[in-house]
Amino acid sequence: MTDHGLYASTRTQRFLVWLTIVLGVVFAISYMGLMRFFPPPPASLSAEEVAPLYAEHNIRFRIGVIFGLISGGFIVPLTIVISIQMARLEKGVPVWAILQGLTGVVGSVFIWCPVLIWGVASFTAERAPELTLIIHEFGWLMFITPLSLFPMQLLGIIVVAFSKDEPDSQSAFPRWLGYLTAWQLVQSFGGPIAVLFKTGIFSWAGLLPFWAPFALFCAWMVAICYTMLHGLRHQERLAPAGA
Amino acid sequence: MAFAIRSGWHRPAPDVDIERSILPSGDSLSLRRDSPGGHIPGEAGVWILLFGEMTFFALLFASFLLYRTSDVAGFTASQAHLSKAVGLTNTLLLLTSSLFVAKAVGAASRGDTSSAPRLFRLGLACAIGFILLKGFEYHELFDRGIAIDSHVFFSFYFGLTVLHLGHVVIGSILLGAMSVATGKMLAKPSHLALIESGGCFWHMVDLLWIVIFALLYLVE
Repeated sequence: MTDHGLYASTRTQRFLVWLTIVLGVVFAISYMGLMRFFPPPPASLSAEEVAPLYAEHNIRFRIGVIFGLISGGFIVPLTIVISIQMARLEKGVPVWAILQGLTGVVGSVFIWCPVLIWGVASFTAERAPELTLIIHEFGWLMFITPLSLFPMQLLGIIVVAFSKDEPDSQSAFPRWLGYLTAWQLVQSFGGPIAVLFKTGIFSWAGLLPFWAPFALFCAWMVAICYTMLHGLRHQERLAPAGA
Repeated sequence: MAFAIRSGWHRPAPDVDIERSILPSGDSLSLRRDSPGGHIPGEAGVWILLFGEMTFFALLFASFLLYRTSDVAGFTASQAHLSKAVGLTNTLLLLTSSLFVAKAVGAASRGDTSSAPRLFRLGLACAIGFILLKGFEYHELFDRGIAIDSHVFFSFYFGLTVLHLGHVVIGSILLGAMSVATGKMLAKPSHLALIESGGCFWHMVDLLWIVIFALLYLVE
């Protein structure tokens, strides 16, 4: 690879990280501001209580769905950059990079699909409330419980952070990121427990399946975007002299 | 001197505390010693995970106590269904495994490739005992018709203990991995930092259980 090619590649990767950040902000605005699903509606709502969530402000909600569908794959560009950066550090066939990339893409489907399902719920809001309730619960459980997909994606990041042959100060995967990711991994087992509870801290609107993973996911996203940009900046500095 | 440190790392004399013997020169261990004030077990980064998890569990414990204040009688009546003996046995199992793991980490830091894996396996055996006993306890409760929705107490009981059990399973996998890893000489100081961090994770799992035991089985 020529110096120029390497430089272009880091520039593309930097663009992808920023694409994730911009799309993530768009998603947050449509999810929180337009769909108004933050904080989540309690899991114990009856059909009569759920129907108005979609019937009132129906157009605003559906505009939120449109932007949610446009930005729902926000994690994909970042996932690709993480995989490229992992492949740089792995020896031989970059198995962890492939696993991380593929599970990241599959995981993003479970951010995107619930938006579409809520879109269906709002599409014919005047239908029988029981029908809306089914699709509402389907969307929410699909949004919360697939957290359990994350461990496979995170495992490779942890392995690379602890086995890499470059100093922490220059790396896209410092050891502290390995530990933060390990925390994320341990937390992600809490999601599926939401299937068992309708009220309290273990329900989908509670501390365990929603608030803790949500806060940690936001912190992890900020951290890994930062370390990717940091690693890329260092690689760009090296590019003209090296290779 | 650097050579001495490195060769000392690979082939330490038996029963010599390698940390103390090479500490004065110490730069190959700078990863593990950030200040003259003291030694952070594992490394600084692992405490993101440990303090994070402990804060998270502290919030869960606080919610338990908060819910409890609204129905103290109901919580106490539900608590009577739990066997203190089983809870105590599990506590002892985890404390014992913590002791084995602490000794195993010590053995690993001395480069003792025969006793470190054995001690980790003993720790793992206690962990498996804990998991089996927990399964038995769940089975007993289900037999008596008690489920998650029997009372808020049991929502917390199952929620907290299942969550903790998940940590025990992850920790057991770590113990197994560490028993394999310490069977041969650790190649780098950072590997020992990882072993220590794994040990710290296990102590945290133990510590969390002690609080869960006190809250669910003992508080009256």
